Amino acid sequence: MGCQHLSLREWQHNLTTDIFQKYDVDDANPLAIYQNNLLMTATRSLSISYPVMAKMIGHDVMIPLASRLLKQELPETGDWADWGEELALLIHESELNEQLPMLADMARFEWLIHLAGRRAEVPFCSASLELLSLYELDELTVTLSPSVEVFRSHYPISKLWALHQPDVPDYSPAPEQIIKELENGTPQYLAIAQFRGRPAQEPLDQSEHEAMTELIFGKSIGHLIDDQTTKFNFIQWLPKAIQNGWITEITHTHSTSIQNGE
Amino acid sequence: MFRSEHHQALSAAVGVGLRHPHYQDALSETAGVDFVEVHSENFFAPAGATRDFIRAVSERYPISLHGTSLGLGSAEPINTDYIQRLKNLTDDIRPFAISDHASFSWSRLNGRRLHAGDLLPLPFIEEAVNIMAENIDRVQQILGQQLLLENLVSYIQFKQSPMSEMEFLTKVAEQSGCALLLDINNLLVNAHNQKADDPLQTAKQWIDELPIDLVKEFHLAGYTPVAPGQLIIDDHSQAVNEECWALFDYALDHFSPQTTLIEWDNQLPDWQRLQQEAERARRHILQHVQRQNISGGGSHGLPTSVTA
Repeated sequence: MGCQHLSLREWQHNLTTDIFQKYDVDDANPLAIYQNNLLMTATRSLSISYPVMAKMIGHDVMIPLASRLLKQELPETGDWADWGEELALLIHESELNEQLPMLADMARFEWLIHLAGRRAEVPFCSASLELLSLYELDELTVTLSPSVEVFRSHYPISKLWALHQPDVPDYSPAPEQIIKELENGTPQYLAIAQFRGRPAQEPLDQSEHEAMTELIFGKSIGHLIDDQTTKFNFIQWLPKAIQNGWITEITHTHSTSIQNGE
Repeated sequence: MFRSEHHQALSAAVGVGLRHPHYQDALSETAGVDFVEVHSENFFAPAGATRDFIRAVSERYPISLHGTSLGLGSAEPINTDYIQRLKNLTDDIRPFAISDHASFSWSRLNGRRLHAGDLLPLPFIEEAVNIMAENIDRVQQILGQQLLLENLVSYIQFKQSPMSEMEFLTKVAEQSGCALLLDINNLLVNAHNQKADDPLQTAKQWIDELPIDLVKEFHLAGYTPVAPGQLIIDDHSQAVNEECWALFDYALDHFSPQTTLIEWDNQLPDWQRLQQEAERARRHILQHVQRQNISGGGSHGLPTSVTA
């Protein structure tokens, strides 16, 4: 292989393009080694980010999933833990969705657990509670923790996920346990966040799920309370949110953050 | 000047690569290992269990941070966010060494930014020397610490190279101010894959090409044997083989003892087996010292952990 007539940049682009996009490469071609390395690393990475998925469908299925995902979502950051966000979408659009319709939701759930385990935990600024007595609620909002995400599914995903613990590689629950959970399960609403250094999940009711989704988009506390379409109870929710590390402060929508002093 | 005093103090120390299955062993059983090396990217998350763990490890061992994704030879710029995450980690755990490979990773595909996720080889040309030296200088300035640059296994053979791999590494180190991490096993894998008549002898000749003051660390590893004619894959899946120990002896005589790491990444043995490999490396270092004393070569001032 030579690169005398190309700039180094062009040569590097050509090599990476061949690794990612050249198919039917002969096994004797050194390119096949790099392609195989890439696929094995991507598969291992997915299995780490999605440990329950890997248990549910097995290593042999994770390999083609990783291969397909590499065509859809390129690794960009140099940290494989950042790669794999689009797995749920890939599964939803694949033949697996017909056989195991809860699988895409499990992937979505595991990605949120994965993210929550890696994001910073910010303590609640209790001084910001004072704003509740100083301003109209229409002028106040709640800042959610950087690690918090909300999740909902028609399937009992959290219970299915728990069935696949303890976190040992070869442990799998009996199929009848899974079937029982699916038959008896109800839709789930969850908040997922990092709490005391670990990803944690807490059940929500539907109104809390909707309210937290609105808070993500900056809706004011007053608007949430006045919204007649939900049964959201801010007074009950607030201590629960503080206790679980979901929120970092109460914020006035037009003034500075107490926490950041910005 | 970059921080390097810790690295000097650990000259000739022997450590092991710390991988996930051994995390608990490493916290509970610290004897027999002078330092541990971890893969930087595995601890990039700013919070959570992995960051808690590496902080706990840093209280028990000196840490060498070994990267696999810096892509120092990339013509595309190294992602600034990646360097910042590395800096955040180094500021947190204060490693005595930071290393990565003489490879490239950052590129573009169909106009989109790409990290290739592998250690991709470089042609040994002036343009690559300049790009790599500039990248290393940038990273060293941000981290405030000298980098160690590791020689690579390449599965691609370049038809014509204006310089040898060792000339290339020497030029990069001299131009950037980095030091070298010499992977002894990688030399042998390349010699075998290039069909050298006598791979051990060829690897020794490559070692002879390197200035003795540039190498600050050795890596020792093993690989899965292959059938004749097949390419050896640098899979770090076996114990260090006898050929690698022989080349280690040669490197000790050539460079004097340096920080030495047992690298074992796949088909991992138990923690005790890794410690045994580290112990064997110590024996080779002591034998080198004895050879030097017999020939009047003087002492190398080994640290307590090695001489005890």
